[in-house]
Amino acid sequence: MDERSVFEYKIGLLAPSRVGKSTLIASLLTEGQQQLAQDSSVHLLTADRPTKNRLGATYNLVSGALKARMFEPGVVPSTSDPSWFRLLLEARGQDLQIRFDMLDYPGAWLEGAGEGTEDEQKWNECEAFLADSSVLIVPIDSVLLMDSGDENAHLLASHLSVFQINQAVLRWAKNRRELSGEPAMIVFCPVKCETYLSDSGSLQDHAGALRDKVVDQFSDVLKTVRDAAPHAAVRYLPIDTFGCVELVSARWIRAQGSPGGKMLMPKYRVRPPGRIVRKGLDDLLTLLCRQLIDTARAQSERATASRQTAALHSRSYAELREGFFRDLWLNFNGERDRRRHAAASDERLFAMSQQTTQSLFDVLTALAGRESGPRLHHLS
Amino acid sequence: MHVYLRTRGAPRKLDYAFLGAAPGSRWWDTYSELTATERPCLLAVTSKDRWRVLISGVPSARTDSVGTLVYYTLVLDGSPCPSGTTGTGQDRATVLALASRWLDDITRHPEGRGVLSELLDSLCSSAEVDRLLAARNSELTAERAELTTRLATALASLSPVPSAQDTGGPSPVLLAERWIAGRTAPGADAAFLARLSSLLSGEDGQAHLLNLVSSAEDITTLPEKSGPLAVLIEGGMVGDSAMPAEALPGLTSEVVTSAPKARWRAAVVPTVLTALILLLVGLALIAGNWT
Ligand SMILES: Nc1nc2c(ncn2[C@@H]2O[C@H](COP(=O)(O)OP(=O)(O)OP(=O)(O)O)[C@@H](O)[C@H]2O)c(=O)[nH]1
Ligand SMILES: [Mg+2]
Repeated sequence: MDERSVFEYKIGLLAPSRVGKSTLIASLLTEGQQQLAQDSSVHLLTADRPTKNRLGATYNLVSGALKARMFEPGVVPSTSDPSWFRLLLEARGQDLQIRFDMLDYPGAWLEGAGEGTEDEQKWNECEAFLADSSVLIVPIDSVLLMDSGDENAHLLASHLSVFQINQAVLRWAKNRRELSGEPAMIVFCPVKCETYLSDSGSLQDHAGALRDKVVDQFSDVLKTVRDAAPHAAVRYLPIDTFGCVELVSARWIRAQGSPGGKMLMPKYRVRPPGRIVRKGLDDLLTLLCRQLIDTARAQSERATASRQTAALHSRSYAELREGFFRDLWLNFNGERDRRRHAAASDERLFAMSQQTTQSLFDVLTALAGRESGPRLHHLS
Repeated sequence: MHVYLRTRGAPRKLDYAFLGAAPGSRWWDTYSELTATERPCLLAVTSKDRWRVLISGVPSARTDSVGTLVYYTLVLDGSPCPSGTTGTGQDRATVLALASRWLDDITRHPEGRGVLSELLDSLCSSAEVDRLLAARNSELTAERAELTTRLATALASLSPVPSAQDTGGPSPVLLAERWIAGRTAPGADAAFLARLSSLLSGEDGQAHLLNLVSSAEDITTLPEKSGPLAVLIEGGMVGDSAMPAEALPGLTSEVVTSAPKARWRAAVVPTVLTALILLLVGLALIAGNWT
């Protein structure tokens, strides 16, 4: 058995096509490596080469386009096949690793992936991953919320896929309730919100309006979480993955196959000098770190408790007196030594487990000292 | 030969899907750690008398609801025909021409925009793509079949890119069973196409153009299949498209097969020896008792 503690978690993203899942994953992880590099308590690593290569590819794609100032809102192509990202969160100076996986998938699968096809089978795999996640992130298209106009308000819910998101959240919440010993968290993350928040260089401040609209449109989803997994933490955190772009206009145009027969087309320009200024990702990272480490701590405490029982049991067995002659025999044939040896090894495991729990506590305390930004809100 | 074409429509909901029939299996998922189908790549595998080819990341001129460029994925499969025979030999020529055009398009334009983009865009207007994707799979079957026929005809009309006059001799490494090389390394594309040709003729093996690979170390996760292997590094976002050719080691499973036997022997010898000694000691004791 590997005596080193292994903690593995999943982080799921829930959003229809073209909202910003792939961009968010790439920015979160790139930002994570930069941010956490400055922090003394934890750091973030890619767990394998495919993850490293995939992140590198997306990063080069986005930063290249921004440098060239020709930021078409669509530098990141739509995802056509799912892929997995594997990361490691390491507590500095401690022999402690937390692994977490993120899944990227074609957003439209959320709304059905070709019944009876191979895509549907693959989507079932993705759904299982999402339902099994410790943390759910729900990226939301802010432009749709803020610039769709009153006359199209009735189309919003279907363009935001609220129904499908609610279904997936319900499945997740039920799962979480069964594991109520484990912390659970869902984070609503409006993206593409550079234009609405003053802290990213916009002249207007619509932070309150944006939050109200999220709470309004996703009220059913919020209720689902409250009913099915009341212990889950619910957070709200708007995120800029580029930061240096500005919405110029958003127009509804006719589109076959889209709800209401139309779709909203945004146009952007790059704010010079076209350098990425991410916002909100540091808070998201801190949230994730805290949540995962807290989950690990809970798990480690349970392991410590059961190892303590085991250690106590094997120690009392090792020292058990069984009568004069039998004790002589046990000493003579080495059985007594064997039992003591087993007890010592169980005690060592217990001590290691205690140590791990303590380390996790220490890291959590260090993280708790981090201040969260003004963008983060509690919705529960 | 079957051909399948995947792309997306403009509206958010019309995500990537096959315009006509879909292939029976998502066999390319096996390679998802090594290549992103969003950007130029090519996969080719032959096993059990069946070849499969995927060409993905072919840019279209169409854009989606947020202005992103849209791409195509072409999936082809068929039964090999030995070289020299006629009939389905046409398939091999078609796929080879297609692959050579694709490599050439990528060389001329970093995004791979070129002959293939134009060919696929000319098949289907933006409105027609949206209409096909918006309908259920069971609907518009006649249109779908007709599109597939047009696609097959268009592909068959492709002529291969005339091979460049070799300036220097290609690296001898490219004659090895298993190799990896940058896409623009001297002679690599020709060697790649030659390998593809033998796959299409029924030889088991693999030939891939991968865009998430930068060195031999990256392809250790490649599913182990017997037969030759050729890997081209695409080099657009990850890796160096000019990386010199490198020979790859043989399959580890071939090396490993003798190991379990050795381990088995290592365990058995001492056990047998111990048993013999115990037997002798026992015999001596018994003999001692009797005398
Ligand atoms: N302005 C702005 N655009 C963004 C932001 N995040 C993503 N985008 C753009 O939105 C589009 C969609 O982003 P993706 O990350 O590809 O979306 P996705 O959810 O992965 O979409 P699918 O792969 O189709 O499911 C891309 O063209 C991005 O460039 C953001 O924070 N601000
Ligand atoms: Mg995506």
